[in-house]
Amino acid sequence: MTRDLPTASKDGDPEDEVVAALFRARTADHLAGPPCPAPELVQASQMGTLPAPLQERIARHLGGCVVCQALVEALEDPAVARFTPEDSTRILTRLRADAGRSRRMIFAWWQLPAAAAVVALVGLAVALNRESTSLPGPPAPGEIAAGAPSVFQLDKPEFRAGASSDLVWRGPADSAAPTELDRALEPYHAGDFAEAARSLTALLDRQPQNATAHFYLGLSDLSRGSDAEAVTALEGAERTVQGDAELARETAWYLALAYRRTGQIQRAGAKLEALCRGGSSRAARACIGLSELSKASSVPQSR
Amino acid sequence: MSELEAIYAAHAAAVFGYALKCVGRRDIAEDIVSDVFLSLHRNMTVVDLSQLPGWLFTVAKHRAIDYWRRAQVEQRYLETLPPAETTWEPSLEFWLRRTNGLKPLHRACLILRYVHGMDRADIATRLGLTGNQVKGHLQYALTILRRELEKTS
Repeated sequence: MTRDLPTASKDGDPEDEVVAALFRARTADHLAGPPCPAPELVQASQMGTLPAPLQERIARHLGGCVVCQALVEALEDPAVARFTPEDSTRILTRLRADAGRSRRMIFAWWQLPAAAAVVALVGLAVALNRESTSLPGPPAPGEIAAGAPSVFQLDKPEFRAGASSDLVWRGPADSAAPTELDRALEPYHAGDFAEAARSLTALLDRQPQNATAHFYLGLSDLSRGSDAEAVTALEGAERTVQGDAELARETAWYLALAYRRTGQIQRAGAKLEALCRGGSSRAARACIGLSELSKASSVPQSR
Repeated sequence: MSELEAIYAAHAAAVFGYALKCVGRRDIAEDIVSDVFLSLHRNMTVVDLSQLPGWLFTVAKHRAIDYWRRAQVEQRYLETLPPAETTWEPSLEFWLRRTNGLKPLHRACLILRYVHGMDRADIATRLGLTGNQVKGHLQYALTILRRELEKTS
């Protein structure tokens, strides 16, 4: 297999791109099929804390994958998995505060990111079920584990939208007018997506570079079934998002969903592929989405 | 509180290391450590303090199992992935594991960056470093790899 290796860059990036590309190529060549499981899954599989079927599957992968073995070995080195004085102080401060507080508060950590996945499941109430009628064939039975929704199901987008919470991305463009964005998002939180689309469009007239507003406009459109408009809005978010990796990833995910709904399968595939290659929290779903997509599009379409 | 803090000082690092192995994320590991010691605080009168480190690890492990159970939706998707078939040449293993001068930190940065496609900020969060430190480690690692390459070719 021949590969075009990029030439070393002479710009500000100090990385040796030739060697980096070679490293990438060497590791990729040895992994046929989907990419390695997320590093945290591989690590946890050694400790036996994963649910049984997953545990087995990942342990099997680890047994045969020299790349994952090397990674786990490296991650468990004391120099990498270190507990710094700063870590210690941070936890102790929190402990002192929590120990003085009411007992009900104790399990606050459950509200952290893993809960997002649970929220997504609970969010089925919001999920739009038109998927199966408006799209190329759903995955064959058994391809997706029983009980799991299609990865393309619109997962409860308002989870990210606590207007006053830290989960709202505030790019440089909107930091000047946070309250205006918050106000425009109120109907969105209330589940009135048509009104949300109106208020966000009005905001965008005044702040056309507000990526967060474009993003939520896109989610509002997706939620009310205006898929073509969602594409436009999310492309706007993609154009204006700057330096916010998480917003960029979320935008890419929902843009893939919007492309898929509007029949732009190739574009959806390109977005998913990029997400799948990334190591983000979206990667696993994007990879599955990609395989769903390729299966669906290889089946002769009746429409 | 002072008794709790003494116990914390003695065992927090070990519990953190254990939790980190169980969940693979520093932020979640931190939550677990905090939760474990809070549980101890609540149960100080009933916990047999002679069983201590063991008791702390057990609680940490249970919290980790809860964490993964709650994350199960993502996992279900993952479970549908066929396992990757892997074939490799000994040279890859050599590259990854035995290259002289590459420390575990460098290897971790290389694999997270080029196999898992993480950006510097993600790697920094995962390893508890700054973005610039990650940049430096990657730069160093690539220099070492280049030297190895030139040696073998």
